[in-house]
Amino acid sequence: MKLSKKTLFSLLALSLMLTACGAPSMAGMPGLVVDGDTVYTSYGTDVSAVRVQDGVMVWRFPAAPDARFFFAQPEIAENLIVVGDYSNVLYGVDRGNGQEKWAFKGSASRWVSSALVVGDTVLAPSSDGNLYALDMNGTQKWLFAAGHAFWTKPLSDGRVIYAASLDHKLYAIDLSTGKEKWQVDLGSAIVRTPLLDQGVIYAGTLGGELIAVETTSQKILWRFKAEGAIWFTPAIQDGVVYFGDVAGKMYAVKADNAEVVWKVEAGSAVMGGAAFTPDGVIFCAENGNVIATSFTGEKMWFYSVPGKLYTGPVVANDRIIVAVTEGETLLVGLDFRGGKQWSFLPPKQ
Amino acid sequence: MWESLIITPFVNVLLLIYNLFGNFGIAIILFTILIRLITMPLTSRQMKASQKMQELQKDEEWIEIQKKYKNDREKLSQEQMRIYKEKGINPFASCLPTLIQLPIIIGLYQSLVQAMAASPLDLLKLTRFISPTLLNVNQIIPLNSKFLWMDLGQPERVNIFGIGIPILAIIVVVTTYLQGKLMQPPANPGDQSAAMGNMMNIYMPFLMGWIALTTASGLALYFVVSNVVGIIQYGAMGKLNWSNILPKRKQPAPAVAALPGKSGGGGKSTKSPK
Repeated sequence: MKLSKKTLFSLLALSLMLTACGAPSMAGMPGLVVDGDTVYTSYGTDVSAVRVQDGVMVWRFPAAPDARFFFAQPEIAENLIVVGDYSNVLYGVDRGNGQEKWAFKGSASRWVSSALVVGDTVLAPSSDGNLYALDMNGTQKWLFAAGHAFWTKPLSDGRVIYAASLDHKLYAIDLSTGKEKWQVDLGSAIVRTPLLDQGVIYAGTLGGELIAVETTSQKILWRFKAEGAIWFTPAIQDGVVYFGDVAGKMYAVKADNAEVVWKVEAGSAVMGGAAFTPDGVIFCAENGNVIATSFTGEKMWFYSVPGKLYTGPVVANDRIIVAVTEGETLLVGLDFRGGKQWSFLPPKQ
Repeated sequence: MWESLIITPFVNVLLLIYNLFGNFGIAIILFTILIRLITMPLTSRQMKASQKMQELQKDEEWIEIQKKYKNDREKLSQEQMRIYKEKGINPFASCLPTLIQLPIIIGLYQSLVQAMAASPLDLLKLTRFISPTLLNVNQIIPLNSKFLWMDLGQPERVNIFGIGIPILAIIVVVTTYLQGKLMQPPANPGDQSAAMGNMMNIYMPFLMGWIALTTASGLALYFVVSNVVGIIQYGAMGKLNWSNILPKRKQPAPAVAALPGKSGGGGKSTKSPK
């Protein structure tokens, strides 16, 4: 059958259109974690280790980018970085040189969230609704099944694992056996990692509530209704919990009774998490603004990054580091007065 | 503009249906049927216009001018316009309904992709499409994506003797092929559009099958429902061409011989339409 050029072009255009429309979504928010002098980030085809002081890349995984996509925050163990990809594979990577040590392929869905390493156990929450416990060689010890996906990093006090799921529930799981100890229904999906502090879990929900749950009694101590959904890991200092919402508000509430200390407008959705400097609290807004407030709620400075900020900042040494989505750079390093010190984009290969 | 006019209403209607039945598979099926029913008048007009154009290809006068002015494009064009006018045919009448339907179909497709929200960024976007007056985000998130043996957010495989068989992708290939063949009108010898149609009938099922194989099974379910509804729609209008898939009976010799080296379509008539 002879095909005219016009026909061939139409078929190719149609193929491209349908393939583009039907492609699985590879959109994501960068993962960012810091340890000592190195910051680890995952975004798109790269997991990178970058020096905090000057933004110079130490290594990247995989060494040459391929079809794998990484958006889950890396977890740091003694000699290991654990990070999952969107092709359902969880990797153990040598912390020193970025070489793959093992790969766990037991998940039926993508890895959105960070794993947690407690002692010699890797606790990996998957979008398939399972929390996998692995040894340090990536061999499965047990799994715990929730009602829906895990998009949050588990928390632990060393004996019990606390894991929040999209199924609205906060689970307490025995670390050694993987058996459920208790569960609390928070009434809405939990999309960002909660905070565990002195036996209380502070969890933000898609329904716009910050909820404090006492782990010993499993009681809900209080509920605070924010103006918008909470895509934020709360941060706590001196008995005050700091968090933001998608309605563009930054909040400081008392940890013991949720009384509002201050509430400040950010001008755009406040997402990810907060970090502390000696002078105050650093928030990131979706519109690209890094906002520094004092502990009493006065805005001290802001720095505008081209791109969007969905990931909370990290602070190491005298640097504030933010990870950018859809921007010209991936990481930006600022000093404590909001001055840009460096930026980082993984080199193209 | 695109999002507020197409995606937002589509996503909300899809999720309203989901909220009623509590199953995303049923929501996809009902939503696809609903959209196909809404666009049915356009489909019907397109088919009638295509039918007229098809009949015109067999018209003796039309065939005559093609031969007579094959080396004079300008004159041929003038003559074609004259015949269109005389017979009351608008040559663009079959394109216009397709053009109107295209954004609706693309919107339907994008709404499904959006509603399946497989990553935090997708879910954030989805929650911004949801109208709080119509839907309670606490009730509908997370979506129950389990349907029959499938997780609609994941590519589908059925494990048979340790081998993952993509049943749904196979159904997509079969239904796409059937739809293409059943809806293809009888062709004239040497008809360029029929040649393209034949090529599409080979190429499209594999393309759709590949997409179904590699993407979330919710999309594959949409392809299957869309194909089946399309076949039923054409069947209801009496336009299915069963001769394209059923074994051919011996045809009486055609009045006009096929062109040398070209194969003719089965069961075609060479008489002018009345």
